[in-house]
Amino acid sequence: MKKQLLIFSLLILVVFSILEGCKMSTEKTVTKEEQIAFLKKNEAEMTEYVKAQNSKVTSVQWDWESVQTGVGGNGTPQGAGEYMSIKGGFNNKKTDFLAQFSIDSGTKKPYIKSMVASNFIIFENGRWEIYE
Amino acid sequence: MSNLQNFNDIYASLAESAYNGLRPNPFPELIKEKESRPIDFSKDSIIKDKKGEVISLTKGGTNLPNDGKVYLQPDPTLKITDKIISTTIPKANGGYETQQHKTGEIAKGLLTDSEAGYNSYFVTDNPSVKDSKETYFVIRGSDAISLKTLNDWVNNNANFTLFNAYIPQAKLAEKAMEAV
Repeated sequence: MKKQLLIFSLLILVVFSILEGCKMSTEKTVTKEEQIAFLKKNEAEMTEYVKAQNSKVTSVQWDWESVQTGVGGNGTPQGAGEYMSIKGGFNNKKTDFLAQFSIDSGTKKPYIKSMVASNFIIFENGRWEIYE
Repeated sequence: MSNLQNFNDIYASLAESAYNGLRPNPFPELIKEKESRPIDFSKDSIIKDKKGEVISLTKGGTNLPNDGKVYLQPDPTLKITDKIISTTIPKANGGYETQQHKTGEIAKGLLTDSEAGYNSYFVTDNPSVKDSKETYFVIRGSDAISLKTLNDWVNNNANFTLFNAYIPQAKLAEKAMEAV
């Protein structure tokens, strides 16, 4: 039983090494600050996209510190592709939404055109409600 | 792996949302620290490619409980602490000193244990848990393999697939289900 677990663990390590090795050979390291700077350069386009989702959204406040990147999950060792997300608020109220991007696996920069914004909510009467 | 074509099955929709990444309504990124958060599965959701073309459209669900509106509940027991490693190095004038370095974060609570590779979500049909009629308990499967998730792949996946063992993830899920 222990021998089987050892063999399986070694197999996992081999798969892990191959996946990490492939990544390291093609990827470059990008800091969070560089990713934020890239998004800030495209802020106007991002803001316009968010405003276009709902005519009642007149201004957007980006939470630059909320930027996250990672490999999407789907239960498999290789995952479901890389992504970036950022949160924001709108109309200078206690509000929230999520923007997601696919990213270039080489440069680690997001494709701005791939942006989707969703889950717009507002805090009213002591609780979060969907913003219609 | 493709996203769902529609949100007509609330159980499938909740299971999909437990994952992070380019998913519709991803719970890991939507969860609030203190308050419940509404999510509407009657609305369409899209994912686009790098040129802005829609590559995945999940149609809003119909005939859903509570018209598809659910509330993602916070985990009040969740604590985030720094993951620290200590190294002992020789000093220039003799002797040794111990230095500490932050290597990441440890998230631990009733619904989450990052070291055990366990992530779950508590979802209700009302903002208030006590007023809810329907409650859902959602457990995420494994994240992509990496140094951070190696413990999950070995301790949970290998042990379960090879020996049908009562794995750490199952013990944590049982404890969380009893509590909620």
